[in-house]
Amino acid sequence: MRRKKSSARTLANVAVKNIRNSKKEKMNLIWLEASGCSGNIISLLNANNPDIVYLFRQMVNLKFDNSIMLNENELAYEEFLNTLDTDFILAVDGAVSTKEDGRYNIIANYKGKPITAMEAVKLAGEKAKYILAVGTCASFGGISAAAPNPSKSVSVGSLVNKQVINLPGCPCHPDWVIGTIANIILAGMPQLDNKNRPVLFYGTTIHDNCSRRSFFDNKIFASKLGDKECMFKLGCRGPITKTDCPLRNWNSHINWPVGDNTPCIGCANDAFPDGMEPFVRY
Amino acid sequence: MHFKTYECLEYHILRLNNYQNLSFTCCNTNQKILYSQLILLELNKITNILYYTFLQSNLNLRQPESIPSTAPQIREFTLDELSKFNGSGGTPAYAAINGVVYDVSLSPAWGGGSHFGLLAGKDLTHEFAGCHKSMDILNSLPRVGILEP
Repeated sequence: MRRKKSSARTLANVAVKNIRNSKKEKMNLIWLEASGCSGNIISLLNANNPDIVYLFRQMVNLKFDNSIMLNENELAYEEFLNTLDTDFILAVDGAVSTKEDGRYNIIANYKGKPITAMEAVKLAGEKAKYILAVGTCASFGGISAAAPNPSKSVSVGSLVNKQVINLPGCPCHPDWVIGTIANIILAGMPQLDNKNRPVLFYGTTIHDNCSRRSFFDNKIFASKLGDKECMFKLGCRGPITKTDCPLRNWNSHINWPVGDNTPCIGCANDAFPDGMEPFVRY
Repeated sequence: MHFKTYECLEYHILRLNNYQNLSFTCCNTNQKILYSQLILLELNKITNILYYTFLQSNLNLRQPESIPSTAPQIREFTLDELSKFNGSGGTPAYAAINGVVYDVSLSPAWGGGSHFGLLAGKDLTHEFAGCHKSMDILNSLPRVGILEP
């Protein structure tokens, strides 16, 4: 259990050692924000041990990210285009809007022509060595594609024809992103489950590792928010959500929803949010 | 024949027909066994009615066997009654599929009496058929009764 918390860090350390010994090359990373909320880049910036300075200095070369890169306007998009001919990992944050040929989400203006996110994802997706769908929106549609889905947002996997590694979560835990990148650097494609999520992070349900599991097993349930017993009858989605939140914890490995006395809303589930409602049932 | 007897007979024969239809259409063996027991009960009732109706006449009918004590005590739900068991406020969560009412209160996928956007306390036959290919997963759910036909 102790190992689980540091699995991302251990992987990252070994990856960096290999890079230093010139056994593995530093790959390029394109982080493309489509129809999302920027939650995933914020989550990544909050990474702790390993943090993003470590990620960007030692593990990958960040070539394009609309939130944190220095270049602006056409220069920025040119960076994107130049990276397409190299070995790179494409990370897409947010679902891809497809209504009216993607014109609801313009990510750049290049030589007088607006570039839609749909076009950019397809273009980069064809040439990327690995594609990461970061967050539930990119992996399964998520909140961007919630009913009635006016922007006709779709998951990255349904847009590109190649294998996509889904990293769901609302937002995705930074350890999951950095750990998967480390896995890619070291050993190529990680082992994926039937929904294309890395088994390393999405292998067991929250329920199986929950600190309140013994309450559930003995059928002692909380009747209102604030009680310390199992919150299953209040609508906790732990039993059907596959992540390691109870072990890894959030915000620099400090706490997680149930530990903070609120039920799990199943944010890493493929049916989130419509299928996970109601989040609390009284 | 007295009109009331006729009504009673008609009622039970309709129920028998209903159970036969349900038994024919469902693929779950546990449900089939349940329905065959219910059919047996209805047959017994009909035989009883016929016997005591014709007791007046001198027809030599065989006295019907008494209803076996191993017959299941089946609880019947109307849709109204079922809607009270929707899992809110600590009440148990029941769901009806194919005429059989299941207790889903402790099923892991039914947190808070809700399942992927559906609420308990309803007849969910249609939704079940639209999502699950096989009825095998119902075998592990405790059964609490049947929907009133």
